[in-house]
Amino acid sequence: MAAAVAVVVAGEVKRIAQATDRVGLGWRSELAAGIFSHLDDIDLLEIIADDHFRDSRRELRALRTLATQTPITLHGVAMGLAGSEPTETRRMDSMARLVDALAPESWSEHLAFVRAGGIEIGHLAAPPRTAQNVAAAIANIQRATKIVGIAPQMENIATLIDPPASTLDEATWITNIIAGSGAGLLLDLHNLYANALNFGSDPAALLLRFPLQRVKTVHLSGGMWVPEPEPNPSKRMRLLDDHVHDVPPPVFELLALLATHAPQPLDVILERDGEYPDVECLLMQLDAARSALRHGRSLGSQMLVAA
Amino acid sequence: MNPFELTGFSFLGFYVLLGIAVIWGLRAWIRHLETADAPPAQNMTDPYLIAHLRSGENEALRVATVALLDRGLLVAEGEKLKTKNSKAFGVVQRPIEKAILQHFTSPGEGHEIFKDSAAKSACDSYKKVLTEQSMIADASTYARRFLPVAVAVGLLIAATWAKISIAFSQGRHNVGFLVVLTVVFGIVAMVLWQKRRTALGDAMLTDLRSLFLRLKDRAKSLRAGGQTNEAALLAAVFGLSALPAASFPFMEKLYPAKSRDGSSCGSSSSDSSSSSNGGSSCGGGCGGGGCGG
Amino acid sequence: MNSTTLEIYLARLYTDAPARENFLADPETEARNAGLSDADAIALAGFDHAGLRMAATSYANKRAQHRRLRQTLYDALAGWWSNRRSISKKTLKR
Repeated sequence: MAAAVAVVVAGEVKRIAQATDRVGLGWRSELAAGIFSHLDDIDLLEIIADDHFRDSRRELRALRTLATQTPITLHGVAMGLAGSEPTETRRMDSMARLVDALAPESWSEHLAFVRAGGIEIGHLAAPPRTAQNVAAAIANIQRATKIVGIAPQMENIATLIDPPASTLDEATWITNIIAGSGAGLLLDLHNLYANALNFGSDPAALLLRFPLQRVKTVHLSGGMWVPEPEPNPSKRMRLLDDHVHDVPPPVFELLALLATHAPQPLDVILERDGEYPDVECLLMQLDAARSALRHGRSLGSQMLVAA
Repeated sequence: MNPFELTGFSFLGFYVLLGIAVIWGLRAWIRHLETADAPPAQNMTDPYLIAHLRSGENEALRVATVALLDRGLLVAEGEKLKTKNSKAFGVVQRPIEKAILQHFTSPGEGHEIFKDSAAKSACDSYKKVLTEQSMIADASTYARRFLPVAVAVGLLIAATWAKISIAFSQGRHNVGFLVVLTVVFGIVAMVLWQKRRTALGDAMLTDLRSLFLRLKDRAKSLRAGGQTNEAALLAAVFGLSALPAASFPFMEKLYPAKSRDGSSCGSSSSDSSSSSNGGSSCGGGCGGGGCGG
Repeated sequence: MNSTTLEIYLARLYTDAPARENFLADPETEARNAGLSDADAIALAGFDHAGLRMAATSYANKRAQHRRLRQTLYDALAGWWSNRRSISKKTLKR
């Protein structure tokens, strides 16, 4: 019996050691020269799908050329798959066309609603987390899977407001949607970190409540603290996920924790959407991500052996 | 109506349309032949490889020279260039850069590098890669283009011959313009035959320009100093005129605007103060919308 | 509790400043006036007012950003078109 357990543990340890994590960047044309100059240090690129839904054949060919240089994934930002209303089919068709044209390794969207009753919010909003919403989100994701042909990875969003009238907490809501839809989880660690800090929970504890075995991709980014509006006698601040600041150290710690508890290979994408620093600065953050992954993998192996 | 019964400018008009159609068809035929190959799997991260693809050996040498100047490994002394010191050789890795530094160990003018045999042979590896990847033409490419060109030229000559025969049989001998047009279209066909880049090479260059397009909006923000080879990459894709003269003042002296092979202007990505944000990506800037995604 | 109705009302609160201020002044009544059930109105009444304001500001900035981008694209297109026209006019004059 002990020998069998030892064999299983050894197998798991080997699997963790062999997990080929990849670390890459969000493709932004502004960073093109920097990215091309350092493709040896970048394992994959994530392309914002919505920027290319109306691309000409020539522009799509350029992206295919990019895909010959390094693996690519697509990331959608406006489908609103976690809304309770059915997502418009044309948005899914656009993604399907782009997936057909570029043959990315995967595609992803957000667990958010971006419009309701014909009102465009303009960005990702957290819906009230209810069982009814879970069912609607699952239906949307399954329909998107059917139309696009590949199941998406769904990303947790950051929110400045804990959605009212929720009957489920964030981790349970996400777990239920991911389990019911068959989608993978794209775990944005800065979003998780911001939500935990903004609504008074421990980021590490919150992370461990997520369905970590379903995580395929990880997003890293930065944000800034903004004060609550007046009157604000307690001078409270909230963390705004803005993608224009460097990744803070606690987010790398969360990445290490994730790597400890999720033995499957992870793709880690650094997101930067403005105030672009020198590409070296971004590469340093990629290196920090690699270190965190290595550290987490090593801890994971030790924990298994100890267990 | 038989177009060969037309006379004077009416027939010339018809012939011009015919010539355009033939040349268009020739281009399409050649493109079809050359894109039948698998798309290049070459990693296009080397700026000198891209510069060579765009405009050949001399352009690769120009971009490399400017990159070395930008990195401070070459210095401009008046009209002449000089390798800064022997340590510079330890910093560079590519043979083309080493050859340029070697050449300018004794001061010389920028254009002299185009005659340097070591620099030229350093470029040969680029030519070899581009040829192997079917991005620039070699003997087999020219041979493959021969049939379409022969058909196109044959069509043009046949049309001219037919018209001249008809005209002469009717006692008219004003065929000078027709002969000139035939020669002009024939020259265009020859140019297409001898074109250095293949359709795959053209496509690769167009793709790179498309991928780098948004950088052009930030041309003025490009900083000299060669921390990375981003400037070299931009110059390689768009031409040296892509680099802003304000940040790269040595360029005007080294390669005056008219001698540069510039296709348009470009830009860089290394300005930490800018915060352009295109498309639908997330991000908002300080105090802005935030992302959440 | 109807998720769709709630999301529509939230979308309105995020995007319609007067509606938002009315809601913040008297949440329960405004929610009921908007057609929400008693349960939903009560659930909304106690929710995070500061967060609502911050989220609304954030979304407004995002919408403004999209508008700016569209304007930039439109300006670029208009500039290109007027350039082309002036070039063609000059060519014609020659």
